[in-house]
Amino acid sequence: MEASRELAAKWRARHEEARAFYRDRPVAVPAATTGMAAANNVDHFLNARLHTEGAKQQPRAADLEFLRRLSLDTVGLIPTSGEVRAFLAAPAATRRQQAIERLLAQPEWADNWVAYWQDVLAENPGILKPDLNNTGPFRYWIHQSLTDGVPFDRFVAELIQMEGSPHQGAPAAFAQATLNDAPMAAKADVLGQAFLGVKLNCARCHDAPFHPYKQKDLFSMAAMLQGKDMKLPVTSTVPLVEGARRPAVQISLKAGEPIAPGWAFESLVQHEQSGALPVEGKVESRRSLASLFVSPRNERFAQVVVNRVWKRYMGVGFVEPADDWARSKPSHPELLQYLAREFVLSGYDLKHLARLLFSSHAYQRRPIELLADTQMPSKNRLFAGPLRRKMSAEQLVDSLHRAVGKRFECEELNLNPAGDRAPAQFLNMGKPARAWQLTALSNERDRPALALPIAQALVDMMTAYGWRQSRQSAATTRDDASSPMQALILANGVLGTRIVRLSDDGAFTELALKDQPVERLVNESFLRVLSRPATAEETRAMTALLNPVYASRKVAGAGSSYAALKSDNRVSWSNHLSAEATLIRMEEERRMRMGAEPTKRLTKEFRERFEDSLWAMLNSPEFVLMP
Amino acid sequence: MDRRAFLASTTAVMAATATHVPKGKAEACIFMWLGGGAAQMDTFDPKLVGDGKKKPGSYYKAIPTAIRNEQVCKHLHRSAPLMDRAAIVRSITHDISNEHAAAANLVHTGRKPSGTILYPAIGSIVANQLGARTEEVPAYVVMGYPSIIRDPGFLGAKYGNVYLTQVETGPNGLVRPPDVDLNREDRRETLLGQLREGYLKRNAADQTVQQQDAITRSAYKMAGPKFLNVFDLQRENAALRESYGGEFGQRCLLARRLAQSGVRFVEVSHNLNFLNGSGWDTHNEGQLKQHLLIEELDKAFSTLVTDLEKNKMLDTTLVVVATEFGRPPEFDAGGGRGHQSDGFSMVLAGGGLKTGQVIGRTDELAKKVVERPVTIADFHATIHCALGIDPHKNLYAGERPVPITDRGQPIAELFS
Repeated sequence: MEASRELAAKWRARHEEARAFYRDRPVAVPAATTGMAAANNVDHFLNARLHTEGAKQQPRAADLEFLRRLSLDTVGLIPTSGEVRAFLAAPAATRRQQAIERLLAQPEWADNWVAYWQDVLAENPGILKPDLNNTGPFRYWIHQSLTDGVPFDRFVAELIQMEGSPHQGAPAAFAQATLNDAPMAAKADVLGQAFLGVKLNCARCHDAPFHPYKQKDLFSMAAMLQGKDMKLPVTSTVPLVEGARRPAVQISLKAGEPIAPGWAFESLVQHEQSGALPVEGKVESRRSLASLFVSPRNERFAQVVVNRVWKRYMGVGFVEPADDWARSKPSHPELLQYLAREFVLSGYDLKHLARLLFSSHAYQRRPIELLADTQMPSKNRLFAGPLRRKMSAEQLVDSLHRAVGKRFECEELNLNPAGDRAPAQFLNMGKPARAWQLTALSNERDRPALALPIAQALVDMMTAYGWRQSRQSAATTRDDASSPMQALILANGVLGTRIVRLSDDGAFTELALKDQPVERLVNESFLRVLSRPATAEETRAMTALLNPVYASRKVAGAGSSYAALKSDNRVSWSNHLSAEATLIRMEEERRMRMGAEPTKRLTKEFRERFEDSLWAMLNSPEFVLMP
Repeated sequence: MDRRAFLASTTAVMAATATHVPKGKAEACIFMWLGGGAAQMDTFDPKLVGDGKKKPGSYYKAIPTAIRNEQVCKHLHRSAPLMDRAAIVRSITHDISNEHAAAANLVHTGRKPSGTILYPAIGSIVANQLGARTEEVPAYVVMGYPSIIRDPGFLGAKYGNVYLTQVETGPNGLVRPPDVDLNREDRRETLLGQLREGYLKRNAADQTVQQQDAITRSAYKMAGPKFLNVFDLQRENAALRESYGGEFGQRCLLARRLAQSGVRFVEVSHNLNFLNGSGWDTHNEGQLKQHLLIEELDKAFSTLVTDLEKNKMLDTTLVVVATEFGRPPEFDAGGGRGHQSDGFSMVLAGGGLKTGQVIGRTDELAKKVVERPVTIADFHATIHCALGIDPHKNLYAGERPVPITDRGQPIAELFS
């Protein structure tokens, strides 16, 4: 405790130095642009550019559209109907700002960021025997750091130290890359993309053909992580076949060549400038590397983080690709500098950045109406409004549960409940309660008794929406382009069916039993699912459907009964090939497919009509597309 | 000359002579997957019979086939007379014998994972290159469990599979929940139509909204009766259903119907492990009832080939029997077999290939390849060629060109 307080004090001192450095480097904020709305300095930068280009701002989004968007961007969930009502009850002039503060203070803020960093940092735990580039589970460490509001430079510095237990969620888990003969080269690539916008993956096997990076640049950073010279593995070279055509890529290193620890990115920051960091890592060159990454003089670091946050909330970055800065110039260099300075002055606080963005007029506008396209040239990126975005896979799955008020159910992610194997071979990832806690289900062996049917239903939905079961390498943008499977899995899939069913574990069953006019039921349903009241037409249509069976909907004397989904933990690695194990899992799969047991407290006639209404709301493009 | 040099020299010679790229006429591929590693000497590459203990060798007697002087195991007696419609490749070789997942990944993607990009499964490559034959059906269907080895990798989710784990369930997402009848389906779509209309009106100029809506509407067509009828095996005559055999056979029947409907690549997993307690991974006592698996394979394979032929589809449908590795001729302490990746068998049938021949040869115990090694890359190149896909072309992971196979050469003898 004493030690951790001391460490925090040292970080505070370090942040004072950083502030001192940035205080002397003010960024001039443009004057207000006549005729354009502005809520804070962010807008002044954007408006000046919009004005020069003769472009218009998008109109301001409606209050409830703003709330739904903000809620997804902060806590990764659609708002509850209670939150919608409280928001509308607050004074119109201040309700948006109040919502920003309230949501930023919720613990789910951490949940909503974990998934992002899992992708960017290639967090890739495997529950069954190591596969290529499996890491340990450092998701919990990410979650804790975000919950505690650890300053972001400290988060990165600790990640780079890679200390602690590899199996229990410490940054040491990041150090792992199973079956990889140069794990530190993989990590150097991940770190470079994540925090410096330096994409070194092509340099793994040869000099990068589209970038100014040599293979040595990557391996000398890898050697810093390794803490000693590295030898270039033969697998990280291009095989030369005698008589075949020469490869088109440049090759400057030979297999087996030793590479010393070194820093190849002097243009970003020089070694002697970086200063010592208050980290306690055992490997000296890792401490040096961390101080190079997060040095206040390394302006790239703060800018890369700012650009990532901006891209996440506005749909496209100032710099694209956000993980590869060698390819293009920022669309708004001054604003980027301004925000980076704000970030450092705040003590590397992600929430401060988020607050600045959410409070801007730009964020609060209607989305622009072009096809969401991160490829658009930077000169066309004016931020007249945010890009139209879709919920992420995790946001979708979590929001489906919230919409219908059902608990997130899943088996324990563990293929060896007997617990008789080493954790390096079988990892127990526990029972997920949020979507980011899922893992690849690792049934490459294609064995029925190794299936986890409840988790599979969640994974099927998430995979269709761009979630990666295996994160062998880093990714900043997901492939979540609209596809037929997205629509189908939501409409007919096992999870979708479960969500829509009026069972005794769902809040809609209770709502339907409440004594209230049918119009109120319809309106409350819209608030819960689409975060807005029903329109007159919608009320008419649904009332007409429900009314004939509404008065008689309750079944007298019927009680509530819900059997939570269960997984038989007698099935374990040692017996999974037996007929019994197979039959157990196939039965669980069948039950899962049947969906939740319908409530007996509502008549079938009413229940089915109401389920169909909910189905329509959840499957409308309005549900999955963010306002 | 050691093995590595031997392989290198063969590759070099073939590279030099590969001026003409054969182009097959197959329109669909049915990929039968024997997960666990099927023993070649107990199936398609029989040798002298061992004793199940000390003396290595096959576990069963061999019988003649329709290919002259070539035999298969006696439990393949229905397939044996049809082997003139097939080519047995007895010299498949790779170097992953310790780990099922890694070897299965290699056989599906044609490569070892690199960590810099994720390689697509062959089903995804075919989906990417050819698409489905008609609009209302998906290009790539898996009967088995979804996992990374069957994923589209860098090609993107668009080329992923639609899967089902059992014939009776139908594909996840494409089949209406059992309690939703036509009446409810109608009601749902009417309500959805009203909601959608309002939303589209409010966002009339928004291209993303319009696109999302268009894709959703086309998706619902895929879940329409036309495609779903394909899954109704009751439409087939009872005797035919019977002759396909158990669950695996029923999957093969469904595979034929899927190919007929326009699906390009159907993977059918034979993962009925409980038949012998180990599936094709016949360590120890798994060996004792291995014949039950072989018989099931025999029924399904032979019926599929004749059924395709009857439907005049055999020439345009490539049937592949694949597995992650083979097994050694020696028996383990429990009377079963370990793993062997250097020298095992796969089968190609139909697909317009020059069938009725055996490619490659192993030694007298099926322990080593002695003639014409075929790598996994070569095997993939052969499948591509049969489907009319250029096996030397590049795919692209962003800007990075990625050869469609890892410098594989199609088995030239199979093409005229």
